[in-house]
Formats: sequence, structure tokens, C-alpha cells
Amino acid sequence: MSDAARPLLAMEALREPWEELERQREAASFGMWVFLASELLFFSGLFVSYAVYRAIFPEAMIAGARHADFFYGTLNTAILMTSSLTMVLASRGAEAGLRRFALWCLAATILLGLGFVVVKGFEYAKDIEDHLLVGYNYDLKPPESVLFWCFYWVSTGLHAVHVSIGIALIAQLLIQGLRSALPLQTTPQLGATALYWHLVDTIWIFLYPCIYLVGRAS
Amino acid sequence: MTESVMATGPRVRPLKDTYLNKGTVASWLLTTDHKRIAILYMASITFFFFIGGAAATLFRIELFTPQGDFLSDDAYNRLFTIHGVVMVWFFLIPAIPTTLGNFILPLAIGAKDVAFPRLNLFSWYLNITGGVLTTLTILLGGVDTGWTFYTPYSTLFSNSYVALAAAGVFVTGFSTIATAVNFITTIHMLRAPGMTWFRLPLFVWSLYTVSIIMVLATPVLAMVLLLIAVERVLGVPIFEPTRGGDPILFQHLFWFYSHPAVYIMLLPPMGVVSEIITCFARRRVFGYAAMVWALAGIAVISFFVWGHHMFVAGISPYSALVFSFLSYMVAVPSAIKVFNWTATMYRGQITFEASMIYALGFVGLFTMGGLTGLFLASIPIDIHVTDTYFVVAHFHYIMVGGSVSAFFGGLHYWWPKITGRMYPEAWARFAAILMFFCFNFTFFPQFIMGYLGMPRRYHVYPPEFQVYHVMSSAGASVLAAAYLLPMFYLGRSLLWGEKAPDNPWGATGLEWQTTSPPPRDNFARPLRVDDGPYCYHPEETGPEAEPREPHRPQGTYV
Amino acid sequence: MDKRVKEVLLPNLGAWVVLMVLLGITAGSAFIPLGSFNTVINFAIAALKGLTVAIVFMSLKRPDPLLRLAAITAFVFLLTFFALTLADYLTRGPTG
Repeated sequence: MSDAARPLLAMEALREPWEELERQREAASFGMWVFLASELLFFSGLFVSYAVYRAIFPEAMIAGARHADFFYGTLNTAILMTSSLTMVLASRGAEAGLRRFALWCLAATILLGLGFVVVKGFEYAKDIEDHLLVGYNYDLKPPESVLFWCFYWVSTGLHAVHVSIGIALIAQLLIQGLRSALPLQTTPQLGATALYWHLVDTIWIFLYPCIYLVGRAS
Repeated sequence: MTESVMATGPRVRPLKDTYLNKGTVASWLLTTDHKRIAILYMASITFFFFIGGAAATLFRIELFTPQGDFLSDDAYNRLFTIHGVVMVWFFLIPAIPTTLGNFILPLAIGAKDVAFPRLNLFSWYLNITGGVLTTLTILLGGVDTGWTFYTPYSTLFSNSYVALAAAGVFVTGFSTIATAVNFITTIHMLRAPGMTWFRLPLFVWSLYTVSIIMVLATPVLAMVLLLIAVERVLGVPIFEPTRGGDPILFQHLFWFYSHPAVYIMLLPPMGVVSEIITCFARRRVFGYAAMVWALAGIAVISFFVWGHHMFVAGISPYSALVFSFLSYMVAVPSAIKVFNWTATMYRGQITFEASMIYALGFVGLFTMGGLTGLFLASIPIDIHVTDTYFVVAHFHYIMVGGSVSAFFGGLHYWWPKITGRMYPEAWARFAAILMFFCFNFTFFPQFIMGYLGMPRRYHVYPPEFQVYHVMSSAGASVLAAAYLLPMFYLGRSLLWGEKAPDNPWGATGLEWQTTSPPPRDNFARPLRVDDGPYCYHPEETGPEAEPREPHRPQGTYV
Repeated sequence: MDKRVKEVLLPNLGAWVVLMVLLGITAGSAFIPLGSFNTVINFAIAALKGLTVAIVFMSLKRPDPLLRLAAITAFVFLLTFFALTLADYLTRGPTG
């Protein structure tokens, strides 16, 4: 990209009511952080419910959790944390002017995200086979263990929706970046999307011990 | 500014230079101008106010007589549910922030627009989508669980459109969150040079603190509605008692949002009242810093008190004690605000424009509602009056006597700025006074009958309560007229009202430094702020002589 | 390798290594019978991972306090949600 073209493209990213792109980028990051605070509170209802049921039905919850697939869960945690790495590399790389590097990292993030979803798909298939689908064929004993699996399906399902939204947002960045329609170095969208993806990773970081590390030692 | 603020004479601006020009439908429905979005919201909240009001009219007619003669049991349940759902989520929560807030906030801080104008428009569309889903619910037959959706009735036994109603509120919740993100970012990052945090008008502070509550509380509502929809539609038994689920967990999750929600409905009205009282008493607010900290304090403590809705639900007595104590604490900052409004008026030059009458009505009615809230915070009293009309009267005093009065007050106060027209002051004063009296006539009897044992949400009742219900329903009929009256004279003023000057009330605040109505970009030239808010008189001087009615000297009879 | 690439890569790669090591520890320790201490370790490690992502990847280290304010506020209210809800459940009598 020539130096003459860059300021023109930079101006396209600038929107009313902002007068400087740097300020607009700061605002986009701040606004996304505020939204992430609300996302955190969104998942908190689930985590509180989990904590409550573990407090009042400890044995049943542990019994239910033993059937969660440790291998798939741990693999997915590794995949998602790696995708966080590639995402931040894309973001910082773009800021440093490394356009090609950033585009490769965005592509890698999408692939890892899709990998997460695929692994989740396999895991869900196995869970359904094991009669763990609440409201359909759940038959584990003790009966209160269903509360663990309610938490599992709602939280991982909701999380997967967020992963999918994230993948779509990153794909949009990649496509527009490839077409040079979006100046990756200066656009506010990249930083904001990266923050969203990191939150999706952080939620999973807390879901992992709730779901996959319970009752393993006994 | 070092001169005292005086009302400006008429200086008419051609409509084509304001934000109201270019009247194509597309230019309104695809606008990113915060002022037009405010008008869009005004249309939608008015529509929902009528729906919620219609529901109230119908069940208040039923309540004239002790027998169930006008409505069936089922119809009655659906009507009070729809009244609650629509009035809370589609009228009170959006009312001031999305209409007056959207319009005035950027003007008040000297900005051209909010931080994310396209997100602002998207907020409105989210609101409309939620509204469509809820209206669909009503048309299909409604929901009968009460606006509180308590389980296991809502998840297992109700034969109404629970999931659809939950979906409508869920979507609207995201509209609220988007607006809040926008406001928080706007206030942090778009203030004019010189507009420091402690020079912000209290209305702006109220929008900031309410946005924090919105961002942190609303997502929990979204989650709990999702969970009951999932339980109902997919059979995921999270709250089902026979399978180990705890219905009280639903109540914890629901009230964690719904208690801060009532403060969402209260803080912006408090901000509006601060603006009006300072203007029409011609005085700066008493204890500005305390007022700011009170708003913040209310916002924070409101998150810690939700258990007071659950004293008789089966929570442990120890946690009930903690919630009761914290509920007493949350009243303190509210009380500080009432003292400060009163002190603001002391030795002021008070005039009684319509908005001032509404604001004073707010102070009185909110105080009554707030004090009765203290009764409810006391566990022994609450056990006696919970689920009676005492609670109904308490929250209507705050929500209607308080928030709705302040909304009308703000609407009248900023009407000249928004529309460029003056409304007829005599009619407006009449409507304000009528509203105050009819409101009390409607809701005061409810305190008494609630204390005497009349349960809420019952349409068949013992005959000894009829006299109170008749008073209440009669009051409500005239109250409805008092609410309709502004729609007539305000509507009329749009076409035939006197053209408004830039600053008809002689108020301070950056919004009055531009034309009525403002141009698309709000200000003709960039602003710089040098003073704090409410500089009605320069330091150390008294008010200048103005053509106003002189005060009668104290202690003399004329 | 381009100097700029190294500057971008190394600190973030370091954080990633930390995350993977923590994952290994938490996954491994789950199989060691430590009673309720397992839960404590697992959530402590999750908190460390979360902090790593927040501080390194999400730039919470930035000089202006705005982002930290948003993060801490959310976290404080999250804590009170947990604390006051569990306060009910943990103090109920035998039939609760």
C-alpha cells in the first residue's frame, strides 16, 4: 500500500462523531470492554446456578460430571487458548503494520475456532449416545445429577453460539482485509473483535474446571 | 459564563436548518442522528404506554365489584401480567434514557452525537423486535404468570405463551445493554473541552450511573429468561423441584436483575428533577458532590438488596437479615437526594411552570413511596404486607408518582428544545395538578387496603375492600384523562404552538446554547466549558433584577 | 525473522506457554485425590489463566485506568452475586 493511499483509507474508517481515528479506536475498545462486562454477567447466572447446585447436591453433581469427556474438553481448551494467541498476534501484528502476518493469523484463528466447533460436535454426538441429552434420553443415576447436565448443555451450547459469532466476525475481518477494503492497521473493528474472542476464551477457561475436572480423582 | 442566565427572546430558525428537515420515511428509519432516534423511541414508548394502560383500565373496571363479573379468572391473570411486562420493560425502563437521554445527552456534554450512532439505531430496532414479539404474545392470548414469571408455574403449568413473552423481553434487554454501552462510552470520551466530570449536569450523571446498572444487571435477566424458555420448550429441568431443581434459585436470578431494574427506572427521573428544580428555583443544586455520590451509591447498593423480594419465599433467615439491613442502607442516598432538592429550593426564586409542578410532585410522591419501602425492608412488617396491595401502592408511588411524573416534567422542560414549539402553559399546569391529585386518589387507598389484608393479583375479594377499590378505580379513570391531556395539547403545539426561543426558561446547560430545535450537528461552533453546572448567579452576588413577580416580603399580609 | 514479527510474537508466545503449562497442571492435578483442595486448585489456576489472557492479550496493562475500571467493576458485582446467593443456600436449615 502506498503512503499516499494509506491516509485515504484511514479516513474511511473514521466515522461521525469522531474527529481522530486514534480516539475512535480507543472508544471501540472501551465500548467492547463495557459490553464484555455485560457478557461476563450474562454467563454469571449459569455459574451461580452451578455453584448453588454443587453446594446443595455435591454427590449428585460429581456423579454427573464423571461422564463428561476429559479428552475432548482438554483438547478444546488447548485449541481455544491457542486461537487466543493467534488472535492477539493478528491484532498486534496489524498494529505494527505486518499486514500479511496479521491475515495469516486471522486465518489460523478461524481454523482453530472451527476446530473447536468440530470437536464439540463429536463430543455432543458421544454425549447423546451415552444418554446424557437432558429432555431427550437422559437416564443417569442419581436423578439430581441431571442438574449438572442441564448446566453442561446450556453453558456449552451458549458458548458455542458465541464461538460461532466470533468466527463470523473474524471471517468478516479476514475477507475485508484481503480485499484491502478495510485498513487492518487502523480499523477499530480489529481490536474490538480480538477482545470479544479473548472473552470467549476466558469463559471457556472457567467452564473447563466446572465441567471436566470434577470427580476425576475418586 | 459570568452573567446570570436570562431567558432569550424569540429567534426563529427555519426548519430546514434543523435536524427536523428532510422528512422522508427512509431518512427517519435509517437515521443515525441521536435526536431522530430519540423521536423514534418516543413513538414506540407511547404505543406501549397505551397497551399497558389499556390492560390497567380493563382490570380496574373489573375491580369495581367484589365478584368476578367483568373478566374471567384467566383473562384477569393475563391482563395484570401484560400490564406489568409492558409497563416495566417497554415503557418505564426505556422511557427517559432512550427519549430524553438520547436527545439531550450529546447536547448536554457538547458533543455532536453519541459514541456509536449506528449502534444507537440498532438499539431501537432491537427494542422494536422485542416489542413485536411481545405484541404477538398478547395477540395470541397473552401470558398469565405475572411479570415475575415465577417457576414452576411458568415453566411447567402455565398454558400461555411464556417462551414467546420471554423472548420478547430477552431481545429488548439487549437494546437496553446497547444503549448503556453507548452512553457510558459517550460520557467518558466525548465531553467538550473543559467539561470535567464534576462539571457535568446531574442529568448526565444519572444517565451514566443508570447505564452501569443496565450493563451489569440486564444480562442476568437475559440468562434467567433463557433458562425458563429452555426448561419450557426443551425440557431442561433447571428449576424443576421433582428433579432436584430449586424454584428459589429462579427467584434469586430474577431479582438480582429486577431489583437494580427498579433503580434503572428511578435514576434518570432523579436526574431530570435535579435539572428542573435548579432551573425554576434559580439556584445551583445544594450539595452537588453529594448528589453525584448519592447516584453512584444507589447504583452500587441496589445490587445488594434483591433478597428483600424473597423474605417469605424460603430463603434462610440469616440471609434475609443481611438483605434487610442492606435494604435500609440503600434508602440513605435516596434520602440525601430528597434533602438536597429541598435545600436547593430554600431561598430560591421559585416559579411554578408545569415541569416544576411535575418535579415537585416527584419529590413528594417519591418520598412517600420510598418511606413505605422502608416498611417493606423490615422483615416482620413485610411478612404481614407482602403480596398485598401495600406493595402494589409502594411501587406505584415510586414508578408512577415518581418516574412517570418526572418523565412528563422532563418532556415539558425540554419540549421547546426538541420541537422548537412552546406548549400552552395553563393547560400543562392543569394537567400536572390533576395528575397529582388523581394519582393520590388512585393509589393511596391501596396502602390502606393492603395493610388490612387485600391480596394483590386477586380479582375476587371480600366486600369490605370494595370502598377502597372503588376509590382506586375512580381515581384511575380520571388519571387516565390526565395522562391523555398532554398528548392533546403537546400534539397541538407541534402545528400551532408558539415558536420557541433558544432558551425559553433561562436555564443553564449546554443544550440551551444552541437553537430550538438544534441543527443536525448540534452546535454551530465548537464549545469550551469554563464553569460548573447551574451557575444561575455568579459567586457572591444575588439575583439580578428581572421582570418577574416580586416575592411577597415574609411575615406581612397583603 | 523480521524484527517487528519477533517483537509481536515473543511476549504473546510466552503467555501462551504459561497458559499451556497451567492447563497441564490443572488437568494433571485433577487426577490426584486431594479432596476439596482439587476444586480450589482448579479454580485458582483458571483465575491465573484468565488473568494472563486479560493482562497480556487484552491489554489491561495499558496506562489509562479505564479498562481496568470496567473489568474490576464487573468482577466485583460478579463476586457479590455469588456471595449473597450462596449466603442463602449455605445457611439454610436441614430441610432447605
